[in-house]
Formats: sequence, C-alpha cells, structure tokens
Amino acid sequence: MSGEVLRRVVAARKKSLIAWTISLIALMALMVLAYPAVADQDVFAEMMEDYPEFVEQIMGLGSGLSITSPAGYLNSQVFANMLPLLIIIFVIGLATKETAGEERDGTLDLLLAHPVTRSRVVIEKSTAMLATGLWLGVISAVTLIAFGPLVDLDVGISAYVGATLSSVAAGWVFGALALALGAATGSRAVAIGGASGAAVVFYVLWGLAPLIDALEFTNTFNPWYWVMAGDPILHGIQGANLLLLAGITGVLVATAVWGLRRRDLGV
Amino acid sequence: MTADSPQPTADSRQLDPRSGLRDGRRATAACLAITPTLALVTAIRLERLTKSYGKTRGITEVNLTVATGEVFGFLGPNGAGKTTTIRTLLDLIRPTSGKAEVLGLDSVDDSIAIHRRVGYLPGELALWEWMTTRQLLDHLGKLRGGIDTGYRDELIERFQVEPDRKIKDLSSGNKQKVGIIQAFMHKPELVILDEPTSGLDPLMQHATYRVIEEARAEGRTVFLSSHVLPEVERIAERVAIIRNGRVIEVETVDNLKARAVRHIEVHFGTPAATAATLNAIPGVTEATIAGETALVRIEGSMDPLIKALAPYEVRSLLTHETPLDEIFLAMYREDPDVR
Repeated sequence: MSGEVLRRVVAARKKSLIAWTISLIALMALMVLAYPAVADQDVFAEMMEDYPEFVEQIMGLGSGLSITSPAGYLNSQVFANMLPLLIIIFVIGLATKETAGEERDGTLDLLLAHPVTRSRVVIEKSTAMLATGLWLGVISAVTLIAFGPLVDLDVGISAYVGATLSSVAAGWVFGALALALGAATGSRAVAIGGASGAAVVFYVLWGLAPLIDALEFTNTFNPWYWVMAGDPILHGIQGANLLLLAGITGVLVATAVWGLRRRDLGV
Repeated sequence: MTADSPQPTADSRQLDPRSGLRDGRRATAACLAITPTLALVTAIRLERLTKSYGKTRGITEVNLTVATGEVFGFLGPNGAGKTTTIRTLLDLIRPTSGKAEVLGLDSVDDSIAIHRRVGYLPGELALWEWMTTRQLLDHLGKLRGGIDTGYRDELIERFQVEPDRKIKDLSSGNKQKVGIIQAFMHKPELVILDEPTSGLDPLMQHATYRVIEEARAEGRTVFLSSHVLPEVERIAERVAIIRNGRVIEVETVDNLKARAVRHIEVHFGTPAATAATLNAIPGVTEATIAGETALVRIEGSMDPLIKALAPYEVRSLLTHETPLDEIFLAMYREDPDVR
C-alpha cells in the first residue's frame, strides 16, 4: 500500500501534466528561438537602462547582467519570473485540491476511514507536489538545453541546473505553504489565497528591497531572495540556498502533517 | 484481516474444562489464546460520548453497546446526530468528552487498527470522479494492503455495476452501489453504514439487505443508520433511536414493533361499524368515521381490530407505515424528559 496515495494524486493529473509538459516545451523552445532577435541588439540593453531599477531587479538583471547576454536573457525571460511562477501555479493548485479540496469534496472521509495515517496521506501528497514541481523544472531545462545550440544560447550545464533547481525550490516553498494552509484550515480560499498572496508579496518585496533601505531586512526571510541569491544563472548550483529553501519546505510539510492530525475533518 | 477472526477458533473450542484442570499450563495458554476473542464480544461501546459544535448540533452523553454478530440499527431523523456519532467511531472527528471503543480498541488511539478491520459507507458518499469503478475499488483495496478480489467481483456482479465506467458517468444510485461494495468487499469484522439504501431502487435495496444478512450469517457485525423505520425493522435485531443528539431508546425490533403505531383506513359497506365500536377495540387509540371510511389509529398488534371487524362488510383495508415522528411522539409521552 506504500505510495498508493501518491500514485493516485499523480494519476489524477495525468492529462493535466501532459498538457503542462507540452505547453512548457513549446514555451521554452519559443523563448530560445526568440533569442536571436534580442542578442547583439544594443537597443534592448539601452531600453532596459531607461526602465526603473525595480523592473530591472524583478527581471533578474539586478546583478548587472545584460538582457542581450545568454545569462541575462534566460534570467529575465525564464528563471527570474516565468518558470518559477508557472511551477508555483501548478503546485499551489495541486496542494489546495489535495488538502482542502479533497476535504470539501468529501473523498477525504473515505480515504481516512482506511488504514492509512493522516501523516502518511499528507507526506505522500507532499511528495506528489515536490515530484511534479521538479518534473516541470526538468522538462523546461531539458528543452532549453536541447534548443540552445540552434541559436548560440548556452550558459553551461551547471548554470542551467542551478537556475532550474532554484525555480523548482520556489515552487516547493509556496506549494508546501498551500499544503500547510489547506491541511490546517480545510479552506480552499485560505490555501490558494494565502499561498499565492505570499508568493506575490514576497516577489514584490524582493524587487523593492534593493531600492529601499528600510526593506532590506526582509530579504532574510524572503524565499525569493534565496531563490535568486548567488545568481545561479552565472554561478551554478547554490547548494546552501537550496538547502535553506528545502528546509523551509520541510517545515511547512511538517506543519501540514500537524495541521491535519490535530483537528476534526469537515464535510 | 478476514471474517474468520472474530469467530471462535479451534483453540477456544479446545477449552474443555476437564483437560484444562489436568494441565494448568495448557489451561493458561488456552486462556491467553481466547482473550482477544472475549474482547471482541463488544463491537461498539460508547461511553457518555459527547461531541459539541455550539448549541444545536452534536451529540450528548451517548451510551451504547453493540455486540459482535449483531445487525444494529441507528434510527433518527436527519440532523439528529447519527453521522456525528459514526464519524467519531472512525476518528474523522474526535469526542469532546466521553469515549468510543470499536472492536475493543480506542477510537482515537487505535484508529488505524480499527480502520483495518472495519468497512465504512459515508452518509454523503463522495468518490474520485475521474476513476472507473474498477480503479477505485483497486485503489481502496491497495490502501488495505491488498484484498482477496473474489468477493469484490461477486459483489460487482450482484449489484450490476459496470466496472469500467467512470464514476462521474454513474447515476447517484450506481455510485451508492459502488460505496456499498467497497464497504463489504474485504469482509470486515464490522461494517458501518451511514444511510446505506438512500438513492437505491427497491431491487438494489434488497440486494443490500442480502449482503447485510450474509455478513450477519458469517458472524460479522453491521451497524447501520437510517431515518426510515421499515428498513431498520426489516434487517436489524436491535435499534437505538437518537433525537437531538441524545439516544432516547435502545430496544429490540420486536418490542418496537409491538409498540408501533399504525394508521388504518377501513372502507365499510353495509353493515358498517360505528366510531364507538371501533374505539372500544383493544389497542385502538383513536377512531373517526367520515361517510363510509373509518380512520383508525392502533398501537401494537392488529389482531383485535381484524377480529372485531368480522361482523361488518369491509370493502378494503389500507394500512399506512408509521412515520418515524409518530414513534417519537409515542416516546415523548412516555418520557417527559425528552425534549
């Protein structure tokens, strides 16, 4: 019976995962193939300079990367925004549906009347969230790496892996937050609203922190800061940052376990 | 865990007192072997079980004992606390105070051990709509660590469920059938059914009763809730009646029937009985005549009425099933403490 809940959670999303996979491959291929239109076009670099610093920061160009360089292009188009946001959307949806959603639908009653502990149910569902988030990252990276050579877009395997893992870790943190909120409250609105709200607020804070001294302290506890810190697109895998983000994810999953174990189930 | 476990095993039958007395050690060993069986004499025991959710809902100090091998009915109108009690047994919700024991195990501390040995049909059944019946039953079987599929397949056949259709394409009656199959398919020691026949056509209700009867014949216990008396009368041996969160009566079905109130409509030809004659018949609590039709309210056996009608021309006789409310009303008169 081990992994049976995990299997069901993934199987329930077979069609959706196929659609997301095809769309991500198409999107990433398009991003790569659009690169020649930007590369060596100084007009884009100049345009970026006219934008406020905030825009530069949230486009992942805060460390002085040029949008026309491979690393700057990939960061601004993929790794600083689109890829983590897409992964976040998918995993928050999964996490909400599988906690508060399953409780409201009533299927959780049937599931938990079987010989499976609440902890196991939460852990298997968390595993499904982590695995699907990782999958979306992996197929994106593979597409970028596969299409890159066609247009001379290459940042090296370690930068691809590092930036992708950081995007996946962003998904994990906010997906786990949705799990914790959904498991602890049983409310879909709290899970979706809380987790996506937190993702947006932290994203904006991360964009503003370098510009406003009073906000700089927020970086310490801002997941987005740790996703982007160390510029994985330049320097490859940021082990310590990833460990920190994985740790936050672990704490949130543990909170989800605790949150579901302690309370009455709703109908 | 299979159905045989609660039944007396070869070990317990060997408990011949003479041989036991001759060999003290063997007797001790045999006693130890029988202890779990003894613990199972009670399938469900509720002690002052209370679950409060504010003022109106919930249950208050429910005491109840269901023996193993019994078919026990839990009767009450909607909102009386049946589902709350049942969900507490399965640790889906936890008691505010008091305790619930299922198969001798604590509902909170030993919930997983209980789930292993229990089959459950939720009152508001929800299934994973994207699955087929077969996938769903496989999934639930695997959650139990794999089950013998023989009985499951037999039930699929008997309930005429198409195993490869998606749940979302099934009518609510067919979904209910899938719910019943999953509750019985692993032959649990105790089956807890919350309103099992709601939404089923009479034929499938009958099929459900047969499955319940089979479980009973194999020594397994069935605890079912219902808001209709005839159903409980038909399949249960004992009944608890719950109202406003309190168990107001635990009674055998036979005794309940004896006390049941019935409404009878008698269409007279000539000669016709008078209201006074009818009111004088033992058991009749109220009789009125309008034209050729008499309305008679009778408690217990109908025999005195039928015998008393013999001298008259009776064109037709209609009996109406007792609405549950009437039974409750009868009880309120007996027990002024009940709200």
